[in-house]
Amino acid sequence: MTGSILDVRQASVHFGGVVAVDEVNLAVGAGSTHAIIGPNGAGKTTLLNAISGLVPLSGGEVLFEGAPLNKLRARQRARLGVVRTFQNPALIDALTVRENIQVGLYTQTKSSSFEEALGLPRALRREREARARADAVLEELRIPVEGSTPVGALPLGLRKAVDIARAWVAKPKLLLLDEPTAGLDESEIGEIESALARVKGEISVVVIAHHLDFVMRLADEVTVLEFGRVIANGPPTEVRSDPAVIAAYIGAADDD
Amino acid sequence: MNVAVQAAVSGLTLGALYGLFALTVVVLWRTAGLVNFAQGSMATLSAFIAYFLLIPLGLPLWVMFLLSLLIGAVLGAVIYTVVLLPRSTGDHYNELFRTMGLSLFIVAFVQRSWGSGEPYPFPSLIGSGSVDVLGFRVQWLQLLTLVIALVLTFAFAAFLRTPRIGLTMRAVASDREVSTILGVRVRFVIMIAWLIVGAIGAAIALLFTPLYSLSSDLMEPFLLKGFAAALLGGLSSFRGAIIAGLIVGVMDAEVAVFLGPEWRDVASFILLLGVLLIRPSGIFGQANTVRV
Repeated sequence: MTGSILDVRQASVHFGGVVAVDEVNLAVGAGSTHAIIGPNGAGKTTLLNAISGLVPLSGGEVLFEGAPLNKLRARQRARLGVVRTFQNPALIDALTVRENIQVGLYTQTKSSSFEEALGLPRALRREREARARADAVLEELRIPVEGSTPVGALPLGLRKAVDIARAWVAKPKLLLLDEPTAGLDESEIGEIESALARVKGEISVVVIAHHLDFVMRLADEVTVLEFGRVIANGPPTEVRSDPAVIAAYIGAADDD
Repeated sequence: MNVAVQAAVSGLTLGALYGLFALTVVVLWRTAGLVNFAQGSMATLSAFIAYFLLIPLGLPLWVMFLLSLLIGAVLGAVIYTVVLLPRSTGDHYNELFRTMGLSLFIVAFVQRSWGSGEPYPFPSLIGSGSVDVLGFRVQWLQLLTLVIALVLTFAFAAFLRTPRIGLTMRAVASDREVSTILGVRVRFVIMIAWLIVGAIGAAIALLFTPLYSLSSDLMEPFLLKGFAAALLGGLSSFRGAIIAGLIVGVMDAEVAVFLGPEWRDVASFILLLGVLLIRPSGIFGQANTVRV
């Protein structure tokens, strides 16, 4: 054990001849917020997919609390406490906000459906508890939306917030956030930021973000990727002044 | 008046079976977004398997009934695994045509194996005899069929309403891709739906057979009336399925008495067409649930 909750060692992901992630090392301290930044196509989301189990590693390994995750599926990783959100929120439009959060709770916790079905009163009690938990998460993260609102009717900012609530509901140990601020205006970014600030320190967070100010305010540690490789790693202030980062990241942003 | 009420009483029995059939339609619709055109032929096949496998064993009839539910469930699981799971893309039209082909296959298999329209005497779960209910004569068999159908409906509806099963089924029906990403075990959830649908199908066939007799065309009336009930009930509502089933059953019996038996299918077809034209979401459905 290194004191890290997550250790990514020499991780590589290849798609045919394309190397999306190239021997990346990353250590996330328990309770810390770790940002991954880099230009488009740097391999940030692929790295997150590899950590959460959505794509297999071509080389290297991912350790969670010291144990290798490589052979576990995404669902099994979620049940260990590694939960993620998506750049396009993974929500089911036909369900309400509360129901989406409940689905998150069911998929991240273990229980027998048959056992529930056979003990109906217990099942009903659990349903009440799950509904109450979903509502409590909305309140905890101060997401200004009614649980009964259909998700399909929400604007992007609230959808992203509900996606975080869906991931947060089962109290994960490691929360992986993929571009939670992309496509949002300043006030929406502020809402996401304050929701994350509220849970900061309680769990470990890995967050991909383009919005540099957001990263600088929230992160304890920053890793910069370019062409699938780590080009800088360290505290935000240090990384920000790194000449390689300025050349690759800020330069690329200027090109946009 | 007495004739009308008497017809309604016998209509309720058949109606409860139409309601059960409609429930199977709703279960698959709510889980896999699929209309299973092989539902009737699957039920017939379950009854034939039960007939040839279980009757020679001389088991008590209620044991045979429960074992038949098991046979139906296994048949449902096998059909899902063999017919729908391979190269499963969630394309509803693709899956719809698979079930149509499956239905033709099962009918041909049953006819080839046990004859076309050949009647087989099927033992009744209860002896003959009748009882007076509020001055109207009701056969024990009818009463028992009604009670079992209602008990099964409520039992399965309760199971499907349990939070994990109910909500994950709705999630899978709404968006399989996102459900998979969220960690919902999509195949497992759909498999449960097929197990239920297979078991209920066997139950319908076994309850229906003593009223008529076992033959390759056993479930033919259900194709029109069961789907009419499912649509009238709103395709997504368990309560709607059973109530609409009872309505269709009573309508069926009244039409047979007052207009003649040859008008029964016509009346069901007019009802089906009427629902589709005037209120496609049915009585209890939501306006946006129809998507085939």
